[in-house]
Parts: sequence; C-alpha cells; structure tokens
Amino acid sequence: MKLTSRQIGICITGLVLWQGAYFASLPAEGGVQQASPIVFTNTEKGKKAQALTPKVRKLLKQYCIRCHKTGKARGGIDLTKDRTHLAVQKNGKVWQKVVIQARNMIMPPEDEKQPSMEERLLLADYFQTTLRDIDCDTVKYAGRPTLRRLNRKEYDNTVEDLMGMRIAASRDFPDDAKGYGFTNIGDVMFVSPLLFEKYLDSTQKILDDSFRNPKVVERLVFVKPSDKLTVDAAARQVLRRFISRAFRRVATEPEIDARVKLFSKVYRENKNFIDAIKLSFKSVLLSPDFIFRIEREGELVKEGKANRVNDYQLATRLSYFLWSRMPDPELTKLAKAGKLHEPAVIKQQISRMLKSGRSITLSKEFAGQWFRFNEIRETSKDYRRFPKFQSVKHQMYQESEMFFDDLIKNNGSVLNLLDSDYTFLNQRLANHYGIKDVKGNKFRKVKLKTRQRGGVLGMGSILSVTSMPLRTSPVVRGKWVMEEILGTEIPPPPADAGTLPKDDHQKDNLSFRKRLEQHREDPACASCHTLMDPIGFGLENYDGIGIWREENLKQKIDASGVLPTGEAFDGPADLKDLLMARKDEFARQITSKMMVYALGRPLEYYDECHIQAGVKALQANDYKIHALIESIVMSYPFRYREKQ
Amino acid sequence: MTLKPKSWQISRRAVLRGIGASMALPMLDVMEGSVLGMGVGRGSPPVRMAYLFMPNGVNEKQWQPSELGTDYELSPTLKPLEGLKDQLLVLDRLRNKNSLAGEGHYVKTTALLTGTPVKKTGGRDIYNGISVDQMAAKMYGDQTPLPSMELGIDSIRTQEDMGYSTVYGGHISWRSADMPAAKEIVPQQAFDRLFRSKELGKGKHDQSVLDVVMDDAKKLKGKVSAADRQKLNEYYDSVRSLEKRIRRTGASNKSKYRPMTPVKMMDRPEGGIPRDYREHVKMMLDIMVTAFWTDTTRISTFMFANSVSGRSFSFLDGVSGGFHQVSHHQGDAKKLEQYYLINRFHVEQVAYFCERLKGIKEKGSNVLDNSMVMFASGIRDGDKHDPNNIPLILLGKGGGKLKTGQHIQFKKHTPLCNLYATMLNCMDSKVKRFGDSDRLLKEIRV
Repeated sequence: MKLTSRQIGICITGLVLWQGAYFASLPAEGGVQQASPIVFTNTEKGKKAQALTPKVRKLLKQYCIRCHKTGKARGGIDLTKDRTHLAVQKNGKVWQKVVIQARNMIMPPEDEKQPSMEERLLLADYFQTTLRDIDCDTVKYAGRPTLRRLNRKEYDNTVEDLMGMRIAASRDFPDDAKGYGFTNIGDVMFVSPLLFEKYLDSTQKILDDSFRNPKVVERLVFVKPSDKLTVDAAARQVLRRFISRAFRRVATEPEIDARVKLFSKVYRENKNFIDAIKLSFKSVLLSPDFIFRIEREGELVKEGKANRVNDYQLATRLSYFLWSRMPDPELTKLAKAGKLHEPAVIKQQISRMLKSGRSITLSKEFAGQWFRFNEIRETSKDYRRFPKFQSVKHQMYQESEMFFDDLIKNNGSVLNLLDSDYTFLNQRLANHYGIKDVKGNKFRKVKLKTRQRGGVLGMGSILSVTSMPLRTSPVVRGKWVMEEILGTEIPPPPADAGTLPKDDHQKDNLSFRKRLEQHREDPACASCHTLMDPIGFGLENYDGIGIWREENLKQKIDASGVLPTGEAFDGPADLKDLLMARKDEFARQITSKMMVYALGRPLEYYDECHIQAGVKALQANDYKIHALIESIVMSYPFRYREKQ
Repeated sequence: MTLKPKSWQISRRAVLRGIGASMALPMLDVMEGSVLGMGVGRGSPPVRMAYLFMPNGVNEKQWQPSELGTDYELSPTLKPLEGLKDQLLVLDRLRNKNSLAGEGHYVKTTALLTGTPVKKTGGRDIYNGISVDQMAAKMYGDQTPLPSMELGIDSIRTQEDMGYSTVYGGHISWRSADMPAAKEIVPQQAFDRLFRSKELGKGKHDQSVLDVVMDDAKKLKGKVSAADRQKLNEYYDSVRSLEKRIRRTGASNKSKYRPMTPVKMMDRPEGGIPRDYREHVKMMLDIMVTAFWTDTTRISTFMFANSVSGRSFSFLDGVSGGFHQVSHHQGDAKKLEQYYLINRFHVEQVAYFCERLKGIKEKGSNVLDNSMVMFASGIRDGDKHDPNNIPLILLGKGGGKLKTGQHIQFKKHTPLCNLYATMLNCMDSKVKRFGDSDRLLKEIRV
C-alpha cells in the first residue's frame, strides 16, 4: 500500500480527528476500505506524525530523489511522498529497502554521486529506527491470508489422514507456483478448469483405491443399516463423521442433508449401501470446504475489536503449519472442547506436534524450499565433469533434511544452521566429503573434526544447487548467502549484463576470480557484485558438487575476501565466523521466513513487532527453534484474522 | 465422471486392425465421406488460433530476412519454413510497450499475449491482463468441447527470482488479470483431456454431485471475505466450465461445424514426461494438431519452455551451452552461432507443426489455411532484453483472411497488440482494440 501525498495530508488531518474518522480515510488493499493497523493513543499521535528531520530530508534530496520522485519513480519507488514517521511506517516495505540498500551500498548506482559511509549509516539507522519503532502495544492488525487451497503435498497428506491410506492422488496436478519462496501462498494458488478436472480424476482414484481396501471401508463406513437403524439414519451417521473430518470442523445439517439426499437417490437405484456412500463421498472431496482452507468471517470469535480464529480454524492453521496435513484427533478433540486457544493448551500441543514424526514437513517443505535443498533432486550436472554426482545427490538431500529435522525434534539452536560441529552422514556421503570412519548406508549424526563441514554452508546439497553444470558460481552462492541467510535482497542485474563462461576450463587460463574481477570493473555491475562475489569466493574450497578442494586448474584456491563492511576473511571457516557475528540478522531472517510460511502471506510493515518478538524469543532462549515456533504460533496474526 | 482413456479408441482400433495400419499421421489425408465410413465433415471449417512461445529472444542477424515484400529470401533461421513461404508472414517492428519496464525476462514472457503492464509481486495482487487467446476463448470457446488448450514443457518449478512470483515466468496465457491459465505438460494427460468430453457426464449422478458442491460454494459466498470470494470465483468458474462441457457434448452443440473423424490421430502417449525434449515437444504439437483437426478446440498456446530457460541444446550439432546462457552472447561469434542454431531448432518445430496442419484437408482447403499460428519470443536480442521489435512470424491464412507470403516492416513502435486485435477480427470478432492497440493491421488482411 503506497500513500499519495494527498492521503498523507489526510493522515495529518487525521490527527485532529477522532480515530474512527481517521480509519475511514485510509486507502486499503484491493480498494476496500479497512481500518489502519496502527492504532494511536492521544499522546502518540503527535510523536508518530513527527516530520522527517531536515538532515534526513536533505540527504534524500541529495542522493535519492532525482530518480525517485513523483512522475519519475524509477522502479516504482517514489521517496518524496512520505514526509512523516507515520507515513514511513505505513510505507514500510519501501523504506525497509532504503535501509538495506543504503547500508549495503546498493544504491545510489555507482555512476551517481555517492554518499559517504557516515551518511549511509545515518540514513539507514534513521529509517531502521523509525520502522522498528512501531509501538508494539498499539499495533493490532492481524492481516489475512488469501484463501489457500491445499497444495499438492497438503492434499496428499490430508487424503492420507482422511482415508487412512496413502494414495498418490495429486500426481497429475499442475505444479504449485511459489509466492515469496513457498508453495503455500494463497495468492498464487489458482483453481483452473484444468485443475478441477484433475480433482475429478483424483477424487475417483481416492475413492476407488480406498473402497477396494476392506479395512478402510470398515473404518469409514462404521455403521450399516440394521433392524434398529434405518438406511438413511446409518448413512447420516457415516456422512456426518466423514464430512466433519474432511471439512476440518463440525458439519452443518444442510451439508449433511444434501449428501444424504444424494445417497438416497443412488441407493434407491441399486440398493447397495457402500456404493451409495462412496458416491456421496465424492461430493465431499470435491467441495470447496475440502479443497480450500476456508475461514468463514462469521465464525471468528469476537474479542472487542479483534477477531480471533475459532478453535477449529486454529487447529487447521496449526496443523498445516507444523505438519502440512489435517488436524489429528487430539487437535480436533481440543477444538471441539473449545480449549485449544488457551495458551497452556496450545503450547503443549506445539510441543507434542514438533516431537511427532509428522513435523518432518517443516524440514521437507519449509527448510527445503527456503534453503533450496529440495531442488537437488531435479539438479543435474555435466556427467563427464562430475561423474559422482548422480550417485550422491540423494544422500546430500538426506543430510539436509535430517539436519533441519533434528533441530525440530531436539529443539536445537538455529545457529547450528550457520555453523555446527556435527552433521548427518552415511558412508557414501562421508567419502564424498573426505571424512573417514563412517561406515554403512545408515545416516547418523557425526561429530566433525574439522570446520570444512557444519552448518548449511558445508552441505553438498546447497553447494550443488548454487553451482552450474560445469563449475561453481561464486555469484550465485554469494547471492544465496546474502538473500537467504542474511535477508538482503539483491537487485536484478541491468538488462545488458553479460554472463560468465559456462565452464571454468578456458583457454586463456584466466582464473574465474580474475574474470569476475574484470566484470566488476563496470560500475553498473560493481555495486551488487562487491556484495555477492567475496562471499561466493569464500566458498571456493567447495567444487560444483561440494567436494573440498585446495586447488582448481592447478592453481591454489584463493578463498579470501573482504566484505563491503570491511571484515576480512579467508575460507569457509572465517566466513562462518562472520555470519555468526551477524547472528541477529539471521535470527530476523529465519523469523521472517517462517512467518511467511506459517501465515501464508507476505509480511507487511504491521508485522514488524511480531518479527521482533520472534527474534527476542530466540535471543532469550539460546536460539532454540521451539521458542521461535511458539512465538509465531502465539503471535497475533497467527491466532487472529482481520475482517474485511 | 470416470475417465476411461482407452475406451474411445476401441472402435477406431478395430477399424485400424481392419486396414492393418499404424500410419504416420502427416501423410494421411482423411477423405471426406471416407471409404471407411467414418464421420463426414459438415459446415464450413472454423478459424483456429495458436500461439507458440520461445524464451530468450533471437540472434537478430540470422533471424531477420534482408528484403521486404513478397519476393524475399528467407533468413537462415527461418529457412526451415521454405515449403510454407506462401503461408508465412514475417512481421517486423511490433512492440510490446507495456513490457518495457521491469526485469529482462519474466515480464516480457508473461505480458507477451496480454500487452499489459505486469505488477511486480512475489505473489500478492498478481496482476497482468487477459491474454489474446483467452479473449478469443471467451468469445468462441463455447463452440468446441474445450474452450482453449494450454500446453507447455516445463513445470513451474524455477526458483523465485527478482521479486517476481514464479507464476509469471511459467504462463503466457491469462484467463483474467489475476489468473493465469494452468498449462498441461504431461502428453498423456493433455491427450486424454481432448477426448474426455465424451466421458464427462457419463456417470449417472455426476450432475447431482456437481449440484451439491456448487451449492456448498454458493452458500460460502456471503460468509467469507471479499478477497476470498474472488478466489472462490475461480472455483465456481471451473465447475461451471465443466458443466458447460458436459452439456456441449450433448446434442446441443452450438457449432455448425462437424469435422471429419480422423481414422487415426496419434497413439495415446505413454504416461509421464518424455526424457527427450524433442520427443516431448513433438508430442505436444501432435496433440495440438489433433485438437484442431477434431475441432476439440480452436484456440491453443504452447510454451517451448518457461521464461529464462537454460535448457541444454547439446543434442544439436555445434551447440554445447544452455539457451539462456548463449542468449547473452555479447557479440561472441561462437555464442551467436549456437544462439542461431537453437532458434532454428524452434523454427523447425514450428515448420513441423504447420506442415502437419497443412496436410489435413478440409472442404477444399486445409487446416493451416484455416489457422493463424503465431511464433514469437518476448524479447528480441538476448543481451538487450528489449521488446521493441518482437521477433515474430505468423503462419496460416486465417480462413482466407490473411495476405500471407510477405515480409512486412511496420512503422517503428507499432503496437504488437494491433496484431492481436487483427487476429481476433479474423475470427469474426468486431473488436477494434486489444491491450494497447491503436489500429488494425490492414496490411496483412486480404
């Protein structure tokens, strides 16, 4: 949401108006009027509407405004509109970028007049402070996810729980698109005629497969008509339970009636109870209440001005966050009893769920998509250059999955992701890494004797997916560290940027480092590459499939570098130390990533307080991951929903 | 509602056994009033529309024919179309102005058929425009079992990049501004979908089942937020489109045209995705041919790959790099040569597709005569990433409405959408505008 100057005018006018009128004057997402997330007490109004200091305005004018003003807003960024702290907070997304780019010397472009480091830090700190200075007691805005359908994984897992058997039901569905890095974002989950036809097929397959299994049928069709039970009454019982489970809440009478009617129609024809039940199940599995995770506004629990999701909705949110599947009987029982939202109860459930084997999806889906290690399975390398890759890539995946899952199961510190003295290996992968004394196919936690491995930076999976088929890519690796680990967005390259040779075996014998240094001589490239490349070169001791090397093409690897902020390093161990020194940036990053995944929506400026809460929870608990997960589940946006 | 993919084939299989043939399709002219007693064509053949997309732009020098007009020499890249020259329009200087902004690839891809500005977003408020094929599907889709068919090769799996959701780079076809049309990439699935209309609604209670779920959906409408309601609309539309299909397969088929029933179209593809890219492309194109031939749909799109595809074309002699990589040629002769060879490979596939359409006779003409097949990339030069002069060719006479056999250079910055508006006109639409168009291209009309 971007405010125009007219709207800021309104905001300022809002100072002298009472709150309600102020709310009404704000523009809203999608053009629908809604309340401002930031609530002001009388004393705060003055403070928040404080104008930007003259010094800051001067700096903006000097270095930014020429390209970022109304009518000439490069990249759609106009920095002339927001003139108060309040406006800056409301347009937080843009100003957060200003902070990062000022600090990391991404902007202004190198061919423009450059601010001194002092000026950069002044700008960055000023806006950072402004943005993080949201009064967290007064920010009460939950936001809302766009309606999410079950993605492929969730669909299959849900079907498994519902039917009691595993069926590859979503096999022919189109792939789920990613939004904000994840495949569970409602905004990019479409239902098309094509997909609906696939739902028809999958539904049929689910029912055919499960009704072929007598045990499953016995469980689903748990009563049959008898002398004491009419056909309709028996059907009603079976359907009531099935619909409630499938819809992840209590089925309503009209919903049951409609299915019983369908059942009767079929039953009248062939008098086959099971067949008629099976057909009426079809109308359950094709219902929007099954396919989508619907949160009816009328079912939210009103708490003053706030709207809490009800216990069934909460059970669903929790279950798809931690398990990527429907709530289990215990969650459902607690929801039914109206107890789940009680803090003690929900915390106890989080702990139970994380210990369960089902929380593996946090590693498979959340970590796999975030760190990109799940891409290893589709990654291919030049066979002649890296003949071993095929035989070891699955092991690489396994290491990463187990590493993250271990953090979840044993409440480990998230800092292990930056650096650890252990990893998970079997013999084949240990050989690949040059580690001795690991025998057999079985993966186990292995204590590391050197610092060559440990943390995500030493993982073959990540080192491979951030490389090319024929060589490493310091650029991609550096970008990956900046973006995924430190949360610094790197802007796109200019349109006429060149590419580097696909192979590092070139006739001119120029080392790759030299070649990239040439590229960096172009100022248009330098501003970003000075950010990415040194880090990437710090990882040059790993080849394109993560094997440790001391030299390449008969030249000794030079893994030294200097970060733009001045810290020098030589090799992965130093690099890990530097990342450790920036652990709070990483804490912020893992919090933000996990919030996106948990909430199913992008983070907005009004989420700032919850990010901070997550970081604080980590800091206060030795960076243990359960503290973060609990903080996110207990956060306002996770338990509440904004009405539209 | 069960799809029994093989059942439709039985009668034809039987026939085939009778004539002991497993004939390659392109050679097989189906005779009207065939001796085999198969279906007989009726009514005048409809106009079809296909859009084939190639990522990463072209080697300009090899793409551009040097002379203009009707008597011109085909460029090296376009050489494979020699046999189709009389059906070909090479159109220069069409610009997709609204895709100028943003980054180098995703915007250019996803806006190719929409001509509208694209919102930069990682997901929230996805915004593009309706694409020309979907506009046509809205107007003419109810004439055929499938309103349109979207095909491709790559799943939308690429890493999210530069702040653009992966939705953009994976779709050229947009049902509306905020909803891409999902594409099918598995040949067998696409093939089965062509014929499933016959299966739809066969289940005795299918309509009753759909009634129940539609009722669920309707009751939901008033109970969810406005944004959720928009998402639910996708669901309603999908169910409705299915119901329409069921109805259309009944006697009330709106179209007057009855295609000849081909003796044998193609074998049902194996499940899964073919390992060989060439095989995969060929199958998808064969499916499009079959769809046009049988009048199962008249509108189709095909993506040779998603945006920025780095697919290796090392199966071509002289090519070792990935497509995207060589498209950043920086004047390097070796890269330019590979770039050209990859472009030319794509043109060869277009030629194959069009030759097949041409081989199918209908009412004294052939399917290509009654089609408009556009082949283009979203950018011209791979280094520059610019959509000012979209590399574009159009094949087929659009039902006799297009003056093919020319190389035309338009005035600089002529909107690409002028072509789309003109193509819609060839389908009998009276629209004057599409996207940012400012006039119809009378230069290409008969």
